[in-house]
Amino acid sequence: MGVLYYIYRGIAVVLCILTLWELFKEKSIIRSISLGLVSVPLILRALMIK
Amino acid sequence: MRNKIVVRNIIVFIGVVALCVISGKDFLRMHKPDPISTSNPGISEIVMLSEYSPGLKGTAADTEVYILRGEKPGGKFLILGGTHPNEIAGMLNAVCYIENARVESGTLYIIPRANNSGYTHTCPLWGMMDIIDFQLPDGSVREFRVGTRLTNPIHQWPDPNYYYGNSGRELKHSEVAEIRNLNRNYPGDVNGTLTEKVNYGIFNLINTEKIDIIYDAHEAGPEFLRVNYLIAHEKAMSVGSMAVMNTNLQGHPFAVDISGATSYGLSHRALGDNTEAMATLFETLNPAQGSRRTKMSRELVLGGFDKNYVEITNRGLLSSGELTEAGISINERTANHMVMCRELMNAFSESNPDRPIIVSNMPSYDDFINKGLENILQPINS
Repeated sequence: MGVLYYIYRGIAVVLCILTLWELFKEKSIIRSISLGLVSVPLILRALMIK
Repeated sequence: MRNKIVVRNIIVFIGVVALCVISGKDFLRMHKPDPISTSNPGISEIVMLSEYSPGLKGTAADTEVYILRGEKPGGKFLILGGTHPNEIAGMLNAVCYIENARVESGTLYIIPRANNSGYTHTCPLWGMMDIIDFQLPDGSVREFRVGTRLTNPIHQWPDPNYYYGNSGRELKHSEVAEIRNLNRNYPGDVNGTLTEKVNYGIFNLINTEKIDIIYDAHEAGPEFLRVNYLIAHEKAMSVGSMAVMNTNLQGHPFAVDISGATSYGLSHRALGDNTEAMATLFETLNPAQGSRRTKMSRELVLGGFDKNYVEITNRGLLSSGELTEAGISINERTANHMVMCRELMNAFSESNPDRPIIVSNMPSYDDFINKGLENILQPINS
């Protein structure tokens, strides 16, 4: 189970980087707000999982 | 142009982070334990459940066990509050015993927050109030978290699609999340999931300390068919029936039912089958847990009034969870648990006169109703 958590954390970090990359280069303000509001809290929650 | 977009998006990101920080404080507040007053000289010892289940040490599920020993030997009674953290009267009953009870003979073991992890979150989409509070006469405020019935998924993850643990209960399909329900996983497993380790801790405490009676305090919505019922394992039926009969003589509309033979994993079945203790569970009525309630409010959670359920009751559609215009306040629900505990202790003492459980200094039912929990809960000692 320990390995699974590390894999999951790694995936969460990669998703976090990709999301921020997408957010910073997004041209539509609606989509950038959507990306932020939906994905940032989800990723924060995912990182809280022990 | 491109730089403008990046700058704009950075501002959006900062705004989102600010929103997360502001709203996150509410979520993180749920991880801070509610203090319980220890000024009662009747408290002999406070231990952690991890003493009975080492795998809990350092986890969010480790929880306090309050021990109140009488000067004279006698029977041993375990009060479980907070098996389902959203069922607040059960936890408040345990806290009232901790803060007021003086044991003259026998021993009380009290776990006010059996599923401690469950207090760190609320049920998604249910709109449940997260914190309740009571203002005491000295001006201080006692706050209590209202969690949800399952262990927090950030503490126990993932939920497998199928699970068959020591409880003998198959958890699959709609019951998959019940792997995080303390009342579906008894007797637990010392090496199992986080919730099973809590179950094991309670099971081991019962065996190690040779508990005579277990009282698992719950609440249920009006649709539940066994509201105000004491569910008793067959070993507990004699004492349970006597206790319920005594409550009826005092005017309380309680009843008793036998624990289902296939209620695998539930405290009244699994602890009764796997320990020497008499296992019981009592459900009081909590309209806030009903699925046909109106908007969540303080009046609903603490006052226990809901106009939808009054209407449903008037149409004769409920069989045990009837609700009147008077509602059923948190004071009354907590008092019901207190009365049930008291009568179980009395019935046990009558049946076992050589090992009585005698507890004094507890407020009466009328004290709960007339004075309220504000005057029964104690200020937090500094």
